[in-house]
Amino acid sequence: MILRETIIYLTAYIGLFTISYYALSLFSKKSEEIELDTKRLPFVSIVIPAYNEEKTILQTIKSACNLDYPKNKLEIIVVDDGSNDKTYKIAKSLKSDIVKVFSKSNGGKASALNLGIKHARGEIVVTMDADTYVSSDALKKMVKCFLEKEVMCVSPSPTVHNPKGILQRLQQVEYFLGVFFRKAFASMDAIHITPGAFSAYRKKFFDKYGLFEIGNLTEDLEMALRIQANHYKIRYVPDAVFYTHSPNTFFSLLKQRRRWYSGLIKNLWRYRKLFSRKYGELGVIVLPAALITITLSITLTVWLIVDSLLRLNKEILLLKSINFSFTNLFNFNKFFFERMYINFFSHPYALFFLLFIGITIGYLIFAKKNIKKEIPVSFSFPIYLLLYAVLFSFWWIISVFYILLNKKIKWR
Amino acid sequence: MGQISFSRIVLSFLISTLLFISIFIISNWIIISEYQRNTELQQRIEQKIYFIDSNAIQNCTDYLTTASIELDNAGSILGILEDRLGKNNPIVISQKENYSRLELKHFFSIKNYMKRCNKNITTILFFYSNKKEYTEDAEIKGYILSKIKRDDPERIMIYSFDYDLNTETINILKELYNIKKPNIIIINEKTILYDLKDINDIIDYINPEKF
Repeated sequence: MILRETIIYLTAYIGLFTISYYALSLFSKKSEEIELDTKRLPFVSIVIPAYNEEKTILQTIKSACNLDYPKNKLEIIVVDDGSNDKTYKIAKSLKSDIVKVFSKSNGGKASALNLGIKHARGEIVVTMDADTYVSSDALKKMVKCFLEKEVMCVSPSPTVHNPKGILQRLQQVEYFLGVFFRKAFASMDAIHITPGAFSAYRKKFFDKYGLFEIGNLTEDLEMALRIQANHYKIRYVPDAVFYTHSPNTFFSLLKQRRRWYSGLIKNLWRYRKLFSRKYGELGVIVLPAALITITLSITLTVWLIVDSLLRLNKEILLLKSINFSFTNLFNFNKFFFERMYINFFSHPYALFFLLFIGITIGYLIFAKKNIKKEIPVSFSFPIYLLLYAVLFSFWWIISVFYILLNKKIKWR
Repeated sequence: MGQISFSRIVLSFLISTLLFISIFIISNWIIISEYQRNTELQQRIEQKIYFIDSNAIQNCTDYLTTASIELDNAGSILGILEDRLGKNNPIVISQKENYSRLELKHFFSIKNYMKRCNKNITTILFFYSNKKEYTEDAEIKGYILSKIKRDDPERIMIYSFDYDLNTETINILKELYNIKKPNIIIINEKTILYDLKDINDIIDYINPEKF
């Protein structure tokens, strides 16, 4: 009992501390609007690796072609990574002077990206997934950040393309909530995760520090950590938005998260030198806080689930003892609600829960203001509150299990 | 790299500590309000019983059954206070003592009322214990008793007493009914139930036709 209370209050306190710190960092740094002369816009190469993406590839290429960017300063490089379907044929069918299509034997996303980067002429290289669509103004907004010489990568805001069903809506809320954290991390130069689906890099960095690592589960994350490890900056442009197809089944989402979280653990271990004062707020606040809050919240969620199941068992026993039938469900609920009302509001746990719901709503308002787009989450938000903590813990437990047992995780 | 800002760390500690403490202040404020509400409720019930006993109301209207429902509410709030503040908290102990006294007064008033107005009311005395080894059994019994009270609030009167509370009231009752162990149910001062796992085990005893 004492241990449980300690974990709950510790999680709440560390959570409040980190949120306060991030909010203070965010609001202490004023963002300056950078004006960029169209003539000074750099040449950009968009690299699209594709493997069996016949359903989306055409729309992705068209989305890249429709970017509001001078066409004489833009090239789109599609790399078919040995697809078994019509991906290559469809990509080739698009007649455009700025689109180049390459084909290679299957070697994974990183190898396809690297081939594209090798052929890229641009000063800036954008990596784009073959199932991703980008808002037309995104690239111009992102490119402005490269005026700062130390900036090696710029990331935009991900959103779910046409979300349907519970899981996609849940991911949509998760992406929106991420806006606050990404912006806070950016204000501390502590962005350590960039979306692989659409991110811009200075090509010079690849030339000096190498291309994407083949075989890495999360090559985009490794690249972000590599940038941080070499003391360069990653910027974030919240109102540059891209839309991506997100997993819509429980198992496809589990697979994705297993890869992400296992990749995160492996890459953080590899770049453990980042956990040091030398790396400022990233090393002392952001990364340790992330690890501590993840560990505590998983412990807590598992504990609460087990505790609830035990309580449920007890409730069933009690219901059995009074021959509970659904015909008197209303009376039963009324009694229950009366008792729960006082129980709930007089308990610090419940008040902390309400406070964190309030903070989460604050994140959504913040996201809406920064993305400058409507965020339709009135239906999705309750689903998020109900399910996310459970799923999040489940994904993490599975990932840790895979790492501990040294089980092989496939990219796809 | 963003340099660590000492002032920001201090300010964050202050904000988080302030929020953290505020939660406990609000929670305590709610508990204290509940305590006050319960104290007022118990005073109201006491006045009601006093008026009935002092023959201020001698007709046979069901004032006592209304008082019984209020007594149940007071008991329910007391349960929450006990859960939050702990059973050894002085506030909880003093409220429990008062509550037990009130229950006893109500019990005797009901007995008079039954005679005076020729009413058939089932009285149930329940001596529960919150000690770990008895909790599960006490919860099941309490749950079943709550259910039968909810089903027939005007004819069933339940009086729950903390077996472990060392007060004059409880000790007198224990002696009077020869209670030697906790979680015992006494129906109409005649039937003693030691074991109660299912509502069917008690339903026959509270059925008026059986008495």
